Amino acid sequence: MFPPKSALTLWAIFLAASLLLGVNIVLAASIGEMRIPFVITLQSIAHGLGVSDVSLDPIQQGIIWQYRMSRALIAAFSGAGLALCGVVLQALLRNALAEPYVLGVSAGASTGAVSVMLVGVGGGAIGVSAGAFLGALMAFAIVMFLASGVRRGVTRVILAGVAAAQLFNAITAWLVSTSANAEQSRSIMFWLLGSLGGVRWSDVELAAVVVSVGFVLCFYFARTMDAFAFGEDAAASLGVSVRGVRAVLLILTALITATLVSIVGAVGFVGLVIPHAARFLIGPGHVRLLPATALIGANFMVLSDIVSRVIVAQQTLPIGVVTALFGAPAFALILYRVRTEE
Amino acid sequence: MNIEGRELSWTRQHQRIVDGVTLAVGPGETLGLIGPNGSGKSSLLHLMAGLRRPSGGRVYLDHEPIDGLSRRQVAQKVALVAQHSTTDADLRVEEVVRLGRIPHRGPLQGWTRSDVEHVEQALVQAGLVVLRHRRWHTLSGGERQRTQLARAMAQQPGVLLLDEPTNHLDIQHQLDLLTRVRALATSNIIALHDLNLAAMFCDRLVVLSEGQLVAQGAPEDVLTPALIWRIYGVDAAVERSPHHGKAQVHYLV
Repeated sequence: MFPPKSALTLWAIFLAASLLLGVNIVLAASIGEMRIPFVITLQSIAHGLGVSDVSLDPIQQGIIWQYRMSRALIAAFSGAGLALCGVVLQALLRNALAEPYVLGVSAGASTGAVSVMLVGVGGGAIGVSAGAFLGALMAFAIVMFLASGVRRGVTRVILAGVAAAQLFNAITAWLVSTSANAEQSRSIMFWLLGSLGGVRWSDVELAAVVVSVGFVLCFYFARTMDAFAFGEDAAASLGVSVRGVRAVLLILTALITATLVSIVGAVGFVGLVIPHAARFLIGPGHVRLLPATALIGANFMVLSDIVSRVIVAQQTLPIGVVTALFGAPAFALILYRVRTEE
Repeated sequence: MNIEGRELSWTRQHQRIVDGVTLAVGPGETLGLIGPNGSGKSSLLHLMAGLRRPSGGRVYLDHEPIDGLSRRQVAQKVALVAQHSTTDADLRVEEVVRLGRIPHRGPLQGWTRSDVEHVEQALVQAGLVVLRHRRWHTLSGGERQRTQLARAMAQQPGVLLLDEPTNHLDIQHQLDLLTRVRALATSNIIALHDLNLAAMFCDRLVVLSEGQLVAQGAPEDVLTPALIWRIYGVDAAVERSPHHGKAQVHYLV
């Protein structure tokens, strides 16, 4: 059955994944500390969407729409965005382990965000997201610099990423320990692990715009990413302007990563695991792979969020903890496969 | 199609890899590039393909400078089969061959009848029709090279550049690949190590040594014991083969 041969099967899979995403989002909105009947959940969502004017308890409606729905949508957009970044980086760097978290880009974005939040870098002229973007670009620059020179091996890029992640995590820890009070450092450390707590509708709007525009631009380059399968020279000999495409796509992934990090913190492994799962299901062609990755990523993240809220009674785990619980073993598995193939 | 390199030089890290090479290939002609390891054959092919910017000299396609063309326009005219190209992507033979259509398609343009036809034709030319659904990582060395050749053919090039395409292949697959290349209507430049195969399959040979062109001409004129000694430091006798009439090198050790 996989990968699907006919276009019909493919559309059926996409349709099923989209429906599943809708169901998961409704499910995520119906689960929480306060028990709210499922019917009320549906009515609240319908009300929020403006398709129903049933009168509801404003508190329940507020919890569903303002709190849980925004959270579920942020989970969906960040899952889609991070998975998208992963698939783009894996194609571009020809590296099965590439993703923003492993490459230290998330760490760079965290450092950028923290330095704006705590130290006031930029004197209020730049926001947290912009700070995260600069941090992410800096991390990319460091990784590309460390990994350039010799022929880019799988391990070299990953080692460069580890170095960058260590460096930026150290800077972040240093900033937090010297500039934050106890309350601030607790909330920042929680956010750094990846947390969906306290997101607002304005965050949803930002994530929606950045991830959607990012997706459209990446999709425009889908076939170009196919051309990278046999390396940069092969791509160039197929008519791709390698430098230009690489610059555009790296900046784009930095932008998506930075936006998501500034909202939900550094959530790891989504960008690693989801593209591999999607490739397994749908095949290696990027025209199909990009939408599949985004859809599966969104589903995965919404489900992870549900797990993070129900796995320990009366407590919410940081979502980064849940994704890492799935992601770390998957990372090991992929690493093992890459090694045996080399 | 005509491809020509005039006074090509290429320097990397203060080292002259290619040093003032001038060569030209006419329509349908096959040129063999021979020379020891590190003599600049690969680099010269990369310059001819427009993948490196020469530090001196220029490449011309049908008498037009290649640097005046976009990357995509070059890719519609010149195809390269590189040395040991491989991928981790789980691609099937057919999918690799389809990559050759990328230069002819817009980013969002669908798959056209002409795309299908060129892919099918390339699969036939490379003898891959029965292997079309095989996965890349299950292919043998010869099958991989034929897949790359088919991908290059799907580009509909006027010029085909091949960098040691017979490396690591057994003799049957070496002959098969070179026969297939000869059967094409393209102008070909092939970097080869095997002097006898070069003599058999090429109309003309160019000999490179330390980045410089040291001899060129018909195989029987170029492959002399004196040249083989000068370039490789190997004693050899050369005679005309009584079987196929081409120059035949015997190494004397």
